[in-house]
Amino acid sequence: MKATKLIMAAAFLAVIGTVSIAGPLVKDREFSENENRYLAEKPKFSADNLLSGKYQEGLENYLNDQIVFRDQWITGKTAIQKLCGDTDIGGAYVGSEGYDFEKILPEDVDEELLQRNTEYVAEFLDGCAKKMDASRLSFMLVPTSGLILEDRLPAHARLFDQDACITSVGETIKSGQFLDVRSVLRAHAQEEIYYHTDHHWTVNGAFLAYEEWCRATGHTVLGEESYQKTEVTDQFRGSLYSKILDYDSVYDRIWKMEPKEPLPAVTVIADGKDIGGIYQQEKLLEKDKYLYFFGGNYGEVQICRETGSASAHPENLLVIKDSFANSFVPFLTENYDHIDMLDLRYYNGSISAYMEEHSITDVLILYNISNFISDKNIYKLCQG
Amino acid sequence: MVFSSFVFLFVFLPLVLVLYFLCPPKLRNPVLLVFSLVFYAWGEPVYVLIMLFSTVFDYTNGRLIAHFAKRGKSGWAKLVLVIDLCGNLGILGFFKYTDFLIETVNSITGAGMSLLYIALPIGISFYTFQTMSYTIDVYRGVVPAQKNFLDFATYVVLFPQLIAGPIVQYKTIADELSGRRTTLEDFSKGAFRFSVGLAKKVILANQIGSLWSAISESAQISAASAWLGAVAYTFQIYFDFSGYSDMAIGLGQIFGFHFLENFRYPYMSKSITEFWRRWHISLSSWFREYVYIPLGGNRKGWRRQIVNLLIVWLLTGLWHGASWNFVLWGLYYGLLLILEKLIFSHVFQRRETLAASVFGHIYTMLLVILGWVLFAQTDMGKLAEYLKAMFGIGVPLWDSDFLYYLSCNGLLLAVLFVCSLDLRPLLKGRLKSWTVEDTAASDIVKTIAMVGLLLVSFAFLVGDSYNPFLYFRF
Repeated sequence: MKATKLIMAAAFLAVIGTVSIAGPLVKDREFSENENRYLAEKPKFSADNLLSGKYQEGLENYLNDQIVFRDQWITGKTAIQKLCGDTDIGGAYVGSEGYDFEKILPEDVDEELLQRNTEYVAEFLDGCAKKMDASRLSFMLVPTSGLILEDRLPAHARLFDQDACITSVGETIKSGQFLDVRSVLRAHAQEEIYYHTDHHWTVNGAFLAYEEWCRATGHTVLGEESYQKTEVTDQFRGSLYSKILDYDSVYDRIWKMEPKEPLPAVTVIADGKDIGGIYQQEKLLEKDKYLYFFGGNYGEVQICRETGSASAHPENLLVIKDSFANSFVPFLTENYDHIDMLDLRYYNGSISAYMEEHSITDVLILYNISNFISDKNIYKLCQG
Repeated sequence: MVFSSFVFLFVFLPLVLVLYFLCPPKLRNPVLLVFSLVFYAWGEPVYVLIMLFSTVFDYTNGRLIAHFAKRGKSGWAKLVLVIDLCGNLGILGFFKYTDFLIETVNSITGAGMSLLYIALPIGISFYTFQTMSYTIDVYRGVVPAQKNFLDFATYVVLFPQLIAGPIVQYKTIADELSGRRTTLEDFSKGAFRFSVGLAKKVILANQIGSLWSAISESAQISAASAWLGAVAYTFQIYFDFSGYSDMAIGLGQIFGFHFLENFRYPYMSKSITEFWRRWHISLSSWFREYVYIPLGGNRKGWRRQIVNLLIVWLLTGLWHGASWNFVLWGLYYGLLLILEKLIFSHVFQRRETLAASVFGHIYTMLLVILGWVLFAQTDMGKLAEYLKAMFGIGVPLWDSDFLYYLSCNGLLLAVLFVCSLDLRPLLKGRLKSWTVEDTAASDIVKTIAMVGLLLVSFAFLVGDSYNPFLYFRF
């Protein structure tokens, strides 16, 4: 009897003690690859921090982030939740066939912001239409995988009505072309047009939308057969994986598609720096392999094809975009020798001045609907 | 500091355990006292001074009351007691109810007095009730005054029950304050109890709590979802609160204290009266002992009993928070108890038929679930909206959201249901000796369960951002 009591007491002390002691013994991690975020550092001790409670909060976060086997604890929790039939884990949905989905609820939609964003785009396009050919203006809102791959979403999972959002935005846009890619994506829902573990679309999805853009803007549709499709990795676990941390999550493949007929190389200048091309091979060694396309988001990216002689494409395209454009824009390099990409989250200059300065003739605005309903930078379109 | 935090589990607890058991018995109260002050000051670095003031104030008053009583000056003893109660209630009233009072006066008279925005010191309602139990009992001669200031201070600030109860009356642990033994048996039982409490809070309450917050924050809900949300909160508050009490009782036992039980499977009750004998027992016994019975209880006729019950339940409601929904919630139970005591007990003969028992369970739980909605929604407008939804007014009966919530939480709800029942009477033979009886085999089973619960609790703590402290209004 006494012995079993001793075992019980010892087990309690061992469990608490091991985790307590192991934490300080193991070296702190600065960044969590799996969660794709910086982990908390040891808080600074001062009387002010102590009295305001900042130190206490910092220490709590620090101990949580730096606990030994942090990733394993979380995957353990996810496994238990999945076992209980829960599909709402870590702020994302776990669907079927290995697909995870962004969880954006009806109450997450800021109707007012959406309305304002729509009006900014409409106003901007109206302004452009006065100066340039309206057929050269286009606006594409990309649905998220939750809408297109609805059959793989957990049954009845709560999601904002993006169908209605896209439709209502489309109805408000008067100038230029509103490109609705929902039906073409739906028609190919069985192909890998979205990543399983990341919220972005794959080049397959982007290519379908590109063909749609070609048709709408009068460019020649070449068809998939004139492209060389190369798988660059099959080890990608994206942003949704980072939220759920599911131990048996699938790995995604990333492709790139290049015209079979080789073209002269492009120079890519991102925020004033030559990054040596569109595809960033070294990013495939990191966790967030979507960065393969351009290496991330920048305020301004200039893509130029040095054709040597007089350009076959004298038009200059301006793309105003979020990260969904990163795997879409590579296709456009075939149609334009000069493309300027602006990301309003990071670019603060006047858009109209920029267009003047760079003799912009064509415009494409490309956003994912979940970014479009929440982005607070779209007002910059109409600023000075 | 709360028990379900990393700082507590992996820094505070190991340190206090090591120092406490390394020190000779004489130094153990000072160790507990210092650690308890750190525990409280961690969350309330300034308000810890109020607690220290209360400690000195009540210690002095206790000594004075005993001094006067010994010399037969009962008038003076009474005066000191009145001063003590005014002091304690004054502090509690000032910090907890001033802004509520100003708001109420403003809304009635239209005056525009500005609020003071006083932050409520954590746990103030718990420790003022504890210290008042001390001075009242000294006055009544139930316990002698504590002469040793360190021992008394240890009682007031003892961290296991400091911020979320149970309300440990002084007389319960008066003897253990100075002469307690720590045994291996108590340590192991306490460790097990603590682990069970942690698991109830972190695994069960937090998980189902996120369902309640999803439903209560959602813009449109159906009647079925509203009921599901209310059930979710019903489970959340029980497993959260009783989990805290388990952790408190377990920690106390590790250090050699034996607190009284605070929850005895309240959701198995067959009447509201029985529910309140099983729910937050330390609070209802405090009100019975120090308010209801002194007011005359049921000994002065039924009219007076009704008044007494209403007073007690108005106060019980207000104790839970300075807001009208708590007043409503208290009076709701006051009325139900009056009905049960004065009418139902005469109408319904106490017959133990199956039908009566089934009816009793359903009637009690429906009222309890409804009661928790009054408790959870502190905004009266939202409360009205939510109640309307529960009764299907202006909302669909059910919707696909309800099906989704159910699919994600169905199994969890089943687990919660089973865990809120006392299944021990059903166990027989070997199963009984391996689990509930005090045998070597049951110790091994419990050890394995304890380690499992701790590990799973840690996993849920690391992986989940939803870990609320529900008692900040108390």
